[in-house]
Amino acid sequence: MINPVLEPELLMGLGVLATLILAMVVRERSNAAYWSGLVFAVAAGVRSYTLHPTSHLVGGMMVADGYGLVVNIMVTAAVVAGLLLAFDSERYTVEFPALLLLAGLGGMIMGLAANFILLFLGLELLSLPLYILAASRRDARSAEAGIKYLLTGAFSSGVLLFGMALLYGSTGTVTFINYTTLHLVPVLLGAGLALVIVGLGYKLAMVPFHMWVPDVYEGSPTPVATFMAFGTKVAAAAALLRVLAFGFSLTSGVWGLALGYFAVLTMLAGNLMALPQRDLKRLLAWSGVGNAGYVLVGIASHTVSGAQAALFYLLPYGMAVVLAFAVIRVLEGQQEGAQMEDLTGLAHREPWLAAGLTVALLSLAGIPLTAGFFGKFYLIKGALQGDQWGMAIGLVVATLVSLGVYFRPIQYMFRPGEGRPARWSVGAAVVVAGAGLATLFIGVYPEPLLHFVAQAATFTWLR
Amino acid sequence: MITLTEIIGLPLLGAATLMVFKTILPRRTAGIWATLLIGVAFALSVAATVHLAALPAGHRVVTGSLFTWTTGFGPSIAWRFYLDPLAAVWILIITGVGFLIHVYSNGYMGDDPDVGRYFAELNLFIFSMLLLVLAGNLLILLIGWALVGLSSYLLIGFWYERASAVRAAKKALVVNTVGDVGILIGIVLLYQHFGTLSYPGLFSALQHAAPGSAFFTWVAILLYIGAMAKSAQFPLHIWLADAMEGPTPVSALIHAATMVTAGVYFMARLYPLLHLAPGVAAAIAAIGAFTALFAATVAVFQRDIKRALAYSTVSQLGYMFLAVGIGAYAAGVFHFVTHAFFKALLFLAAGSVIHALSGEQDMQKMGGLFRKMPVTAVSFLVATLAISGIPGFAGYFSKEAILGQALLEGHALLWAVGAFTAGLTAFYMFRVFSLTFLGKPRDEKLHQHAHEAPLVMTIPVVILGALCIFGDVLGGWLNSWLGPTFDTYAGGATYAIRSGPVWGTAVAVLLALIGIGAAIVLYVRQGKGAYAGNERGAGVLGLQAWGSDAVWRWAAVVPFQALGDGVRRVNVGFVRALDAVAGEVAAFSDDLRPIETGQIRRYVLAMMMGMVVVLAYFLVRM
Repeated sequence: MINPVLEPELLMGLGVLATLILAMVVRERSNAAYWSGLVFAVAAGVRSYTLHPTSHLVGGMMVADGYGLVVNIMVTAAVVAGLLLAFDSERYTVEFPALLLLAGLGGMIMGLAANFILLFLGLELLSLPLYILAASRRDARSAEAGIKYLLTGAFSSGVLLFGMALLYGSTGTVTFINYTTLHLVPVLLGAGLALVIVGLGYKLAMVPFHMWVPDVYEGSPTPVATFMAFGTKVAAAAALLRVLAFGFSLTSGVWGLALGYFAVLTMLAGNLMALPQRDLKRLLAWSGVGNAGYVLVGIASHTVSGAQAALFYLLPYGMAVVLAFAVIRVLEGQQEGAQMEDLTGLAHREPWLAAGLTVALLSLAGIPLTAGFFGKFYLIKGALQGDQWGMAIGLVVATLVSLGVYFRPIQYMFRPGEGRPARWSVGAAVVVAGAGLATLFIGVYPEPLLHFVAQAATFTWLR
Repeated sequence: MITLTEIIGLPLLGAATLMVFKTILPRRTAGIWATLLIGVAFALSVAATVHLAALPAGHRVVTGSLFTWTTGFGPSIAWRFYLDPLAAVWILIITGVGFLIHVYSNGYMGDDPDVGRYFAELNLFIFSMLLLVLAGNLLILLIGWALVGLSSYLLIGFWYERASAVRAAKKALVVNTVGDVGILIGIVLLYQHFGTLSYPGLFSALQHAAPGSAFFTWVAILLYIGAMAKSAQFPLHIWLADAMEGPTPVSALIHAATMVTAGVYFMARLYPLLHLAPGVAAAIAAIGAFTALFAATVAVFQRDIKRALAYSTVSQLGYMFLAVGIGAYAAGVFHFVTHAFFKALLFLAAGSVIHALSGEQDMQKMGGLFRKMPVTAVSFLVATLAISGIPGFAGYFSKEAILGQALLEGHALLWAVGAFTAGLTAFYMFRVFSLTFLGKPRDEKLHQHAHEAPLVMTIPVVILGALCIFGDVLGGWLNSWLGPTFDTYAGGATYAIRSGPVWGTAVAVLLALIGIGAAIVLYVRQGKGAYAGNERGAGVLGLQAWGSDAVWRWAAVVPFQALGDGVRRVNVGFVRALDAVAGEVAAFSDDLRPIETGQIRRYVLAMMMGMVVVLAYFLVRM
C-alpha cells in the first residue's frame, strides 16, 4: 500500500499515464488529453492542500512536510497554467500534456526530496521533458532553444552530480539530515557544496549560470516558457533552500556570504539586462533572472523570516509572471512571441488585457496593493533581520532599475496607435483572470496566505 | 455582527455587479437591482436595530472583527464593525432615505444613457457611508470617510462632459481632502499617545485623562477640521453649492440627507474627546451658529433653486453643530433625522420641478406651478413649513430642542443667532416656494409643457412628506434610545433633550411667521422675480456667498499656485538629474548586451568561470 503522504505525486503520475494513453487512443485534434491532464493536476494540487503534513522521512528519501506540500501546490499551479495556455491550440502536439505533467512531477519530487539521490532524480525528471517541450515547435528558433537548453543543462547536471559525489565521498551519506550535525567543513565537502550550488543555481537562473534563460524562453512555445518561469524556478529555489537552510544550516558562515554576493549580482544583472529588451519574452526572461536574485536574498539571509520570505516571494512572482505570459499568449496569435511595439494602443483596444498586464508588471515592480509589494517587503525584512544590509540595499537598487523595465510596456499600452490584435482563448482568459485576481487579493489581504507559507518554511535549525 | 457585514456588503455587491455588467444589463434592471439591494439593506438595518433594542440597556453594542487585515507593520489592524444606538440611527436614515431616493432615481435617471454607472456609484456611496458609520475603529472610519469623498466626487462629476460639473467635482474633492488630512494627523496623534484606535479602547483611555490639555485641544481641532470639510462648515462651506452640478437625487442623498451629516456623527461619536477639549466644543458651537446665520443670508439671494436649497443645508448643518458644541447630542441627532426627511423631500420635489421644466433650474423661469404639479407642490409646502419651524411639523420640534437647550445651558447669544436665523430660514424658504409654485408663470413656454412627475417619483416624495409631519414623535424615543451611547463615558451628561422656556419658542415662531409674511408680501403680492435684489450692490455679493470664493482664491489658491510653480522648478531640475542617471544606466545596460552572444560555447565558458570562482572562494574560506 502506498504511503498516503505521496498521494499528490501518485495523482500526478496517474495523470501522466492517463494523458499518454489518451494521446495514443484518441484521434489527434482532441482535447481529451488536456482535460485529463487538467483534472489530475488540479486534483494533485488540492490533495497537497488537504494533506496533513508530517515530518517523518519516507524511506529515508523524502519528507512530505508543509514545505514540500507548498512547493507541490505551486508546481501544480504552474502545470495548470501551462495546460490552460496551450489548450485548444492546434500547434501543440498531443504529447504536450503528458510531458508537461511529467515535468511537474519532477518539480514536486524536488520539493519533497530529503536526499541527494532523489533530488537529482526529480531534477532530471523535470528537465528531460522540458528539453523536448522547448524544441516542440517545428521551427529553427524552437530547435535552437531545445539544443541550448539540453547542452547547458547536461553540463550543469554533470556539475551537480560531481558535487554530490564529492559530498558523499567526504561524509559517506547523501541524506540531508545527516549533514545537519556538521560543524567543521573539510575541503572535499566545501568543494562538493560549491558544485551543488552551481548546479542548482543553473536551474534557478543565478548569474553567471543564467545565460540560457533568454534564448530558451524566447524560442520555446509560450506555455512551456510559462511553466519554466514559474514551475522550474519554484522547484530549484525550494531544493536550494532545503539543502542550504536545512542540511547545511550550521555551516552558513561558509556559503551564506557567497550566496549573498550571487544574490546581489543576480538582481542587478538581471534587471539591468532587462532594460534594453524589446522582445517581451526576453524581457520576462531577464526579469526572471532578477527575481531569482530576490529569492536568493531570502535564502542567503539565513534567518527564519528570510526563508519564509523566499518561499512566499515565489508566489507573487509566479502569479505575476504567469499573468504576463498569458497576456503574451493572447497577443501572439499564430506566430510566437510579442514585441514591445505590439502593445501599442492595447489599453484602448483590449482594456481587460491591458489591465492584466499592468497588474502583472506593477506586481513585479513591487508596487503596493499588488502581491509583489508584500513579497519584497518581507524579503527586505528578512535581510535586515539577518543583519545583511548590503543585500537589502542591493534589492532596493535593483528594484529602482526594474521600475524602468516594467513601466516601459505600460507606456506602450497607453500610446495611441494600432498594435497587434488580440486573440482570446478560454484557457488564457481563465489564467488572466485567476492570476490577476490572485495578485490583487494577496496585495490587499496577504495575511492568510502568508501565515500558511510562513508555517511551512520554518526550519527548526534556523534562528 | 453577521447582519452588519451583510448591511455593508449588499451595496458593495450592487456597485461591483453594476460596474461589471452595466453594458449588458437591460436599461431598467440596473435601477431595480440597485434599489432592491438597498431595500434589503434597510430591512436588515431595521432587524439589527430591533436586535439592539432587545439587549439590556447597558450592553447595547454589537461588534465583531471581520478579519485581521495585516500584520508586520506594528500592531495588527482589524476590520472591526460596531453598532450602537448612535450608529443605528444613522444606518436607518442612510438605508431608509437612501432607498426612497433610489426609487425616485428610477424615474429621474431612467432615460440617462449611463444609468448603470449612475446606480453603481450610488450604491458605492451607500456602502461607503455605511462603512463610515459602522466602523469599529478610527482607521476603518477614515477609509469609509475617504470613500464617501470619492463617491461624492464621482457623482458630482457624473455628467463629465460638462466642464462646470468636472470643476465642481474637483473642488469638492480638494476641500474634502483637506479634512481627510486633518483626520489622518489626528488619528496618528491619538495612536501615538494611546496605542489603540478602537472606540472602546480609546474612550476608556480618555476617561482617565484630565480635560483641557493642549494635546487634546489639538487633536480635537484636527478631527474637527475633517468634520468641518465634510459638513460644509464655515469657512470650508464653499464646495457644497457647486456640488449641485450633480444629478438632483444625488444632491438629495449626498448633499442633504447623509454625507454632509457625517461630520455631525463624527463629532457626536467623539463626545468623550470633546469633553476633554471644552474650548474646541465652544468653538464648534460658535462656528455652527455663525455658519447657520451666514448661509441663511446667502440663501436669501440665490436664483438657482438647487443652490438656494444647498445654502439652506449649510445653514441647517450649522444648527446641528451648534447642538453638538453645547453638548445637546440628542437634539443634534434629532435635527439630523428631521432634516434628512424635509431636505431630501425638498430636493426630490425640486428635482421633479426641474424634470418637468426640462432641466431648468433658474427660479426666474418658474412660477405658478401649483396647478400643474399639485402633489409635488403640497409636499414641498409641507417640507417648507417643517424647515421654517412651524409648530406641528417635525422641524419645529428638533429646532426648538436645540434652541431651548442653548438657553438652558446659558448660551443666550447662540440662542439669539439661532432664533434670528429661524426667521431668515422661513423667509428664504417661502421665497423659494412662492417663486416656484405661486404667482404667475414667468416663462409661458416652459410652463405649458410642465407636468406632474410619474408615480415612481411622487410616491417617495409623499412618503417623505408624511415623515415631515409625523417625524416629531421620534424626539422622545431618541431621548431614551441614545442613552446607552452617551451614558457610558464622561462628557455626555447633557445629551438629553429638555424643553426650554416658553418665551424662547414664542419668539422663534413669531420670527418665522414674520419671515413667511414678508416673503408672501414680496413675492406673491408684489410679484417680484428671482433676480430682485441680487442684481447690484450688496445683492451681487450675497449671490456669490459674500465673496467666499474670492477670499479663498486670494488666501489659498494663489499662494499654493505660487508655491507649486516654485516646487515645479525644483522638481524639473530633480527630474533632469534623475533622467541623466537613468540614461547612464540605460546606456550601461546597452553596453552589456554583447554578453548575450547566443553562442553556447560562450555560455558554458561563463558557467565554467563562475564555477571556478565559487570553488576558489570555498577553498580559500576553509
